[in-house]
Amino acid sequence: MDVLNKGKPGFLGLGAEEARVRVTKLPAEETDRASVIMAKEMLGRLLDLMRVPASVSVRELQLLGATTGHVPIALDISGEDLGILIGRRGQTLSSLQYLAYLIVSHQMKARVHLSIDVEGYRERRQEALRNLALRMAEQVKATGHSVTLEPMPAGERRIIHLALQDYPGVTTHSIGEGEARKVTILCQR
Amino acid sequence: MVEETNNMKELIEYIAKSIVNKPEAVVVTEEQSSERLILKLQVDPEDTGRVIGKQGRVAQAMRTLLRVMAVREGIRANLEIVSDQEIVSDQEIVSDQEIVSEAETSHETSE
Repeated sequence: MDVLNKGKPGFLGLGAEEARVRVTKLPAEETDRASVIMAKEMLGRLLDLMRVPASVSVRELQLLGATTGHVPIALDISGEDLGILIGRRGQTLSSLQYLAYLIVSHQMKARVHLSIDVEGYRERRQEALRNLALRMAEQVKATGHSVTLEPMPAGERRIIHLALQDYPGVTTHSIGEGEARKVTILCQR
Repeated sequence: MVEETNNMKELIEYIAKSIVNKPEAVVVTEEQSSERLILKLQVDPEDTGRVIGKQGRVAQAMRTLLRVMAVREGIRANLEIVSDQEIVSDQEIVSDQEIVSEAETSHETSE
């Protein structure tokens, strides 16, 4: 913020001049950089408090666009025996990512998208889900009976939908609400 | 173990203070019985919704992290969000629903 003219108080309100300032909005790029630094530090602090010895790194490729282009800041946690940070069906990792997102967004006063991975878990899980989707689609086509998968969070359901969007002979839908929402693979007539 | 439970308190304090508008009003107290630790989180009435979240999602996420620490220590830990009932009931309906769902989830996790 630059002060162009401090203004004059005038005398008894006579001859007063209003102050003029120029307010420059922080460029999105700088907000992104600040968010990345903040996210990394904050996650390190959370892990310290949880007494989980691990290190946090930022995936450089996706450094920019977190506050503007909806590109998440990708953080990788590495260390030994980090299964406890993943939890059943990735529940602990989801909680960690959600709280981290809330903290950074609250501090930056903007929605900052974060994607946290532990020792390549998300990559492996994606691969496993894609394989599952293809296997089930094969089965649906062979038997003509639809198959409903176990409940999954939105990101995982999306992987199933995408894996089968061009698969001939089947369609996918999500059914159920909230935590219980799951994907059904149907035979296409 | 005393050190570890202090850490649980610190973790909740840190998270709560980082997501509310009045961090100075955040108070976490502990009640400890033989193998069970109860953490009570108190925030400014206007911040209650922020630490509970829609459908109790924020509180649930904090409980999940607490559980990781508790399991490692072989103890049970609960998180309760303390709010002034009168003030809460004066808030909009959305908040009331959140309080209800909060109560349900805390019941679930008590086992």
